[in-house]
Amino acid sequence: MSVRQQDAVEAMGLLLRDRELRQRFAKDRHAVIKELDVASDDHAYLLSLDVEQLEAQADSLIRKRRAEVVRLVPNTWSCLGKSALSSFQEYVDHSTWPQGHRRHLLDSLGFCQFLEERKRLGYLKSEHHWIGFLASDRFCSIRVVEDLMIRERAWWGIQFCFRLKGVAYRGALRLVSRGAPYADQ
Amino acid sequence: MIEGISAESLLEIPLVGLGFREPLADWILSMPKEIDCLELTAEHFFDHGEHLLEHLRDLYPISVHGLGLSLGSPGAIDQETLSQFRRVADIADARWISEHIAFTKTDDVDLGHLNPVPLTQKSLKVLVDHAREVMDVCQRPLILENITSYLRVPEELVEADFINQLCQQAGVGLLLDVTNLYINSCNHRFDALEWLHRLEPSVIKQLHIVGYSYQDGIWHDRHCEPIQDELLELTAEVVSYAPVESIIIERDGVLPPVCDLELELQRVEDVCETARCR
Repeated sequence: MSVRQQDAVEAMGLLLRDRELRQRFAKDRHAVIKELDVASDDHAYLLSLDVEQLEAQADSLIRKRRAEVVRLVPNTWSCLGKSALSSFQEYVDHSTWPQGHRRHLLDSLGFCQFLEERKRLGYLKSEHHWIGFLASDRFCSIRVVEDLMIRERAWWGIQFCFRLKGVAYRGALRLVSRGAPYADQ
Repeated sequence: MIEGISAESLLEIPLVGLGFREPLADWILSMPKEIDCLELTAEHFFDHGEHLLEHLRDLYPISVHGLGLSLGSPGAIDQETLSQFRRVADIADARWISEHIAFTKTDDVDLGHLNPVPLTQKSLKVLVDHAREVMDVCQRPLILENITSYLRVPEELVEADFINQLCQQAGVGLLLDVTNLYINSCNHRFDALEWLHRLEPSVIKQLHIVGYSYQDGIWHDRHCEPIQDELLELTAEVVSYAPVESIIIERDGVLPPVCDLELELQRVEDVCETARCR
């Protein structure tokens, strides 16, 4: 039984996703083309790709993912301070690429989970709760949180999220101030 | 589907509008005089927003824009995504639908954003087949957009010729992103006007425009800057060359105040009027 060979687009998809594969491709294109089992009529195309431009395109995909995550969890990003970029890159290297039209939401949720699991300073339970709610089909969700961000101060409080006519809303009852959230790291 | 150019079509002023973004909903629903038409991103309405779609449909001529059909990928189009796309286009009663000359995913990976396809006969056939399928399913005219890319793909066919053949073989039009053309011409050092004039003018149906970003010697398409003068000059060239029917300003990220958007819409309309009256 013959297995279908990869074509140029499929090979490019793998190269754009995988940094380590791109590094090997830059060193020995023929070996990677053979490893990916690319159809022979697509070899010339892949051999003539500019590896620096390929790297720039791959970087742009990560930048776009990151921009969406910053948009969806802005307080978390801000609280991570100088470690935000390296934390995101670490998350990307340790996770699969999110799929489908809700990928940005799933990416933001995955990033929050990553920060929580590694107990990173800057992780905000309140924003994680909100993103988790958006990614779910739940009608409402209530949680006690210790990091409600109000006017650049962190508060203990009760956060509630709910949906009305398909639109998601969030609110909070603040209890006690915890002061400035995190010093810049 | 694409007709020849009549003298009259080059005299009509294109409709000028915006890509719909939820934070602008109240303003858009108030029907400001500067907005002639709207473009809706299909994926933004996959999970909710049916009532809003119906409301907008009653207020503006609408086109529906897709991001995730990945028409340049080999193999079958994802039928679930196509079915959702059709549902949004139907509810919005889209004048036409649009997607990209690009791939975003393959069987192995969903890259989530647009990537260039090889400019080869093989890719052309994939795009033609997929474009026809989308039109068959949605029963609406389809236009396809040129993308920006940091990767200049090796050319078996010159890009403009590839687009001409795609439009002719599939019976689709071109959504010419003026900003993408400008950015690619700067990053990959070619003449944007030469590129433009190699296109069949009759295929250009709609334009996208937004300001470019420039950082570290590279031009970027981040949808977050006001439109620069050189982009308006290029837009004027396109509008006087081709029977463009509408122009959409695409802002994302941190949106500017409504008064700035009104001015920007007015500027684009003024450029079109001047170009069509040359």
